[in-house]
Amino acid sequence: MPATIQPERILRDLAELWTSLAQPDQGASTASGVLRACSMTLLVAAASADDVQDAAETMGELMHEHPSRAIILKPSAAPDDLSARVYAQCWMPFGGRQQICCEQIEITTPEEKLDEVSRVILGLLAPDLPAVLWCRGPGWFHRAGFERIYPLIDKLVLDSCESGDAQSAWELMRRLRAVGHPRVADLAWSRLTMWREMIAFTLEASVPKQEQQAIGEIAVEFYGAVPSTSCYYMGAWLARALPAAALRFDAVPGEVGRVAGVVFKGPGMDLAFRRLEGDTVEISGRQSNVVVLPHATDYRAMREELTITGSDPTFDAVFESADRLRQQS
Amino acid sequence: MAEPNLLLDPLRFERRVPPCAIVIFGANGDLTKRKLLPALYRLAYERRLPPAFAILGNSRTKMNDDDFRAKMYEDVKQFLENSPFDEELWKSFAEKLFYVAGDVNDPGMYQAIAARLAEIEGAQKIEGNVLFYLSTQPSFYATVVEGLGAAGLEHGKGWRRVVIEKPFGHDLESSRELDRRIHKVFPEEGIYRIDHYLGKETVQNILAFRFGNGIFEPVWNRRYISNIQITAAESIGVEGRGAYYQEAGTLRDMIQNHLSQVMATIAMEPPSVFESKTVRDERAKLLRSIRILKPDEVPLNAVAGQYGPARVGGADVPGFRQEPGVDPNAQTDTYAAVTFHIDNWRWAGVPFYVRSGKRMPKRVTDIAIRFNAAPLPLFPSDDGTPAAPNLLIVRIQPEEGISLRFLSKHPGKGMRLRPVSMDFNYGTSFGERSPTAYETLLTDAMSGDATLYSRQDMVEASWKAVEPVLENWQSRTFNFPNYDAGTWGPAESDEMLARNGHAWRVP
Repeated sequence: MPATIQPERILRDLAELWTSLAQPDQGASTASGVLRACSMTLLVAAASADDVQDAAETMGELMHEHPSRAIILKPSAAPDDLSARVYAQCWMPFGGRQQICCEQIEITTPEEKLDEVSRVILGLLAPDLPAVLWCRGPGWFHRAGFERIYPLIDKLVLDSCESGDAQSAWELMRRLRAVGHPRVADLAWSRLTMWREMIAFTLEASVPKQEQQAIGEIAVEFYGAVPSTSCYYMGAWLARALPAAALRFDAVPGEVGRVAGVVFKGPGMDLAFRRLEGDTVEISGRQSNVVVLPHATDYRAMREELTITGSDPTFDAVFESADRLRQQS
Repeated sequence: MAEPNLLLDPLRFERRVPPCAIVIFGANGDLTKRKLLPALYRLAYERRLPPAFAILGNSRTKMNDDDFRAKMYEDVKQFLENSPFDEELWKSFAEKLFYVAGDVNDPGMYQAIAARLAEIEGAQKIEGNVLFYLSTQPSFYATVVEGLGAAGLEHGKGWRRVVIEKPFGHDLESSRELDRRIHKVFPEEGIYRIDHYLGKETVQNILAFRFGNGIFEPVWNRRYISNIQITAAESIGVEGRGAYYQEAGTLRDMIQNHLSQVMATIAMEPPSVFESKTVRDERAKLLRSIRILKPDEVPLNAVAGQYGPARVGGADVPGFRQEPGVDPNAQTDTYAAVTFHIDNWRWAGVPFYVRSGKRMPKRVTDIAIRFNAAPLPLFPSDDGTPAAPNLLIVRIQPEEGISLRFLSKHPGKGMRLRPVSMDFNYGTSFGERSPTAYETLLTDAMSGDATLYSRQDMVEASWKAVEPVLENWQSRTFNFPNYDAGTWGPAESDEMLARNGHAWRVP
């Protein structure tokens, strides 16, 4: 008999899970019981079967700030390997007396069954709450049936830099943005936040507005042969704020895929931000300093994305310009 | 209008605290160790303080920088709320702690602070920005501010602001006098009157709840609401503050400031835009709309109480007059309940019952909005009493959240109704830790955002509202104690509501 999964069955399993957690002598329960927390449905499409563990660990961290009903899609190569299991992620808040628990559902699915699985997902969405899909690998974009999930969600999060197929990610983003649903976010943009914050505040503090507007040249330095999408985002963001400056991309030796530095030149003004190693950035010129930025992990980037449930005007404006820059290069 | 800075991305960037120094007067006091330093340390933990930052403590106690750091190390470890303590972080945080010993009455002390700030400026690059935090006894507020002015510390290369803790005076006249003296040194935009209740997440959430949702505002008025009850109860007594509390009392300590601000937040009109001035304008307007009680109305609309000794849970609990440092004949109100009437179109006829007390059965602060009953009782209850009306509860502490009580059919035969509760608990939707009120308010003051701070017109309006009660109580001799420790206050308080056909909700 072929394997099947039914939303009712999964929901019943979840109900039983909560009942068992509420028992005084069971699992995560405490004298005060557990607190069931949910503010959204977070669907995670794991890049591969091996990626499930990493994804689950990141989601475990995310749950603390964004408690969700998590549904992990685990790809399987076997055509009949369709199954689902439920479990809870619990933690004790610092100084708290009651454990907080979030429910997680892991669905193993072969490519051929994605179409059917999307209907199961429809029955599993936490009602009246936003649904976000985090797509951790580009393989999903090409799988038949994956697009069936898009109408079910409010936001799709992908990573055009880390996915290994920037072109597919970019095309998907362009297409979904044209349709207008779901909203699309790119972790390659979120990972730039710390850099952007550092640049914005340094310019604000050390370069008067008039001098900022007189900046004639912006160089975004990148590692490798071609700029990564994050370099285009960085360039587009800077060009939008400083439209009088000429923008260029300079290759420097180093680890492929990341912004290596940003250099501003204006009349009597130089200001450079250069990555020394890892997340250490040296600021030189108008201001001199060494800044150690927090590491731009998946967790940090996703945490940021999950706080944005509505539109993101800065990213919207930057995406269009970054798209043009990509096409020009 | 200035062009917006397109490099800034408020959706994603942390709100920026500019380089600055905080000078804390009363740095050896309770507030500093329990609230201020733990809040600043937590901001550092979350990387929300700028690298160019310093804290300069002052009190009479003779200490050097290292002594102060050692003391604060113990205090922060002890009083940090819902947060881990990171020894490594403390080392870098402690490097930004400095101390100047001296009496606030000594003009030379302000010169010493000026010299120390100049040193800090050189080393920490605080850009001349200084926040003076007055955590001293209230009677020293004007003295400190005048001392700052005499030493020329009220202005400098950057901004200068002063944060003043409540009470802002002990009555209307003294509040005006204090304000006059402070204004001689600082302009209004440099004065931050802190009311930590306004910094609580749940109090801020009242604005989101009311003005971010479309469904509540249409029923938020006299047509649908019967009465509103605001309760701030403490299970503890005066905890060593007997001498202070004896002079202040609950009406001054809680209702004139914290609870009147909460009431203003619950009852104010929507601001035209969400900006500091417009929000504060609406709060002030509401406070000015509170009806000033005539002398003969006070006994019907205000009840004073004082707790007496009792056995609670097998332990003997002293009465207020038995607390250390308290006059055995003290006439202090450790409980106060006042019925406020707001004379505007929205609230005319809706009583706002506000109560606060010490040694109550539990620690709880909440707001209960009691709606009118259905116009026609189709479903009488089993015992023939009217069905319980809808109730919206905003819980401020300890379990932050919002509950809505409504009637539901009891399963089974017949049409029997019973009240059920629909609960929103902060923890279930936002797993992250809420910042403490002082983290929020300190960040705001350093960033120049006064939205959650009181303004002098608000302070004066709330003094005007409570002053008839204060005057009446001062002219009377109460037969205290009139409630036992561990109870919900004197019987007169229940009678005050009963006269209007209402009853206190048991929180």
